[in-house]
Amino acid sequence: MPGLHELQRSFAAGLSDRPCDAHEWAASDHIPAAARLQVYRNNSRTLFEQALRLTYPVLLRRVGADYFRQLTHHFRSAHPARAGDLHEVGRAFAGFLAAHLAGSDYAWLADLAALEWAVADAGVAADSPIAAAVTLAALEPARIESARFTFVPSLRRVVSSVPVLSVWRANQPDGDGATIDLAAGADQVIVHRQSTAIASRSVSRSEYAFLDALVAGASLRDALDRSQLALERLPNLLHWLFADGVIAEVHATPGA
Amino acid sequence: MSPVTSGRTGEQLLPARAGIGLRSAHLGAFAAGRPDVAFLEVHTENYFHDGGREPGLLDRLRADYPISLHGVGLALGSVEPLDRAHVARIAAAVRRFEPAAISEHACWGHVDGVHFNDLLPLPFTDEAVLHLAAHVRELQDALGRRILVENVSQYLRFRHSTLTEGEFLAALVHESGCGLLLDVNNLYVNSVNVGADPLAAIERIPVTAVGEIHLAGHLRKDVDGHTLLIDDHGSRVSEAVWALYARALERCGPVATLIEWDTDVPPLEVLLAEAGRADSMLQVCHARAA
Repeated sequence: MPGLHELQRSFAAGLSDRPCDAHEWAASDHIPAAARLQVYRNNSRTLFEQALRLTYPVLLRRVGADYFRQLTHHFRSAHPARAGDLHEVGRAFAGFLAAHLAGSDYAWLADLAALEWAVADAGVAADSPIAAAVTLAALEPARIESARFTFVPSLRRVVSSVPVLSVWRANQPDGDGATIDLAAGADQVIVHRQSTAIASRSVSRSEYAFLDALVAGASLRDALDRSQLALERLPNLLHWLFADGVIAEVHATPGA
Repeated sequence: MSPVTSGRTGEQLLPARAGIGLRSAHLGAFAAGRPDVAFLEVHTENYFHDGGREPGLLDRLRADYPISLHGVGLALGSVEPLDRAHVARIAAAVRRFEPAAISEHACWGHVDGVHFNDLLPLPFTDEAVLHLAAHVRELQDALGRRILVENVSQYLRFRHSTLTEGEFLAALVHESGCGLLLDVNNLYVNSVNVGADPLAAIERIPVTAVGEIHLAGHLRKDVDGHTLLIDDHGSRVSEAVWALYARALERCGPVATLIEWDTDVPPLEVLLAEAGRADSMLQVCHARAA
């Protein structure tokens, strides 16, 4: 009779549709052991798929249940769960889709998955105080340029070759379901959480690059230089970064 | 019967009345008011994260309800070492929400680094008891308190099991000092699926260890003309399970009882009605014990 480790290894093989001895160790009566093992196989598959359905509802709606199940099956074979927390199951899904769908007309679905993961991840990020715009305005002009920023833990950013935020919004439960022209252009999306609600917006390439630099620790002046953001766009950009609660803290460095 | 206390720290566990699971569909009702239930149970893994609506709401609700943290992913019976990161997150949730009870399952769930996210069956052997008990002790040491361990539903029986389910659970309590979360629906499901004797299990377990009872619905599945019950937590408690619950109360006395409904979650009033039926039975039990 098997030891515990041997039994668990063999059972696991059976759950993964590989040959196993587990059904030989299980009592067979009016219901064969193989059919009983199938219940566990179905449970495991279903729980994995349900976790992905919860995290990627728009992707599910776009591709349909059957194709979503196929994608889930391939993903699980390539990336079996490595943790007992089902919330982690979908972390690598966008990367898997990027490889799996590369070169096809559906490659953009990887970006949609990346956005849905960003939304889910932002939803459970730690809470944080937010900085008021007056914090920056109160600095001497010479120190404003050298200011650096800390952003709220829920801030996430997604870049896509298609208008992915429009697709996501149109497919929300209260969305209009409109067909979005995927050739309309690239998208740079900012996602974060305000209290318990997710906030999202598309920004221009230069605005995204500016924010990217700030997140990396650049000063306001350096971020402007790197992004080539037009100076006249800076007040509006800073206004919504503060008003929307994206900035957690302003760090003033000693003036020159 | 006096409330169950922990042999480790002496803390009180859950009140001997009926509680319900706090589900997404009902968060609005609990945010707006305080429905009349004795306690709330949540899946521990849903509270592993720092932010979001649910942790914030639970922070507020714990002022008005005892909380039970019920884990589904640690898989204490797995041969591999406990996932330390997972244990740390449980510990963090315990520190934040200060639950009246913490529970896990008598199952395994991962091997060779691959997790199956299901409650997989252990054989009822001395080896399995000792292995499971070692992990239970390790978790209790990490948390600094006793946990409850739940019996799971079975869809197969291992031919080399040498213990009955009741003997297995009793041995686990003896080896680890844990408490028991007695899932009465699972006892019934196992009686149909593998011919287990639920009354014998109830008679065999150490009653002073029972800190909570779960009641849930199940699904009947036909397999080549024969019935398997699937523990899907997706319907009302069946009359057969209510009857078995009555027998459990006769043996154990009044025990905190959870109505466990996780799939196809109904309106809150339905859950509260199920909890009300459990409460009526508990009141009779309290009167008998007085």
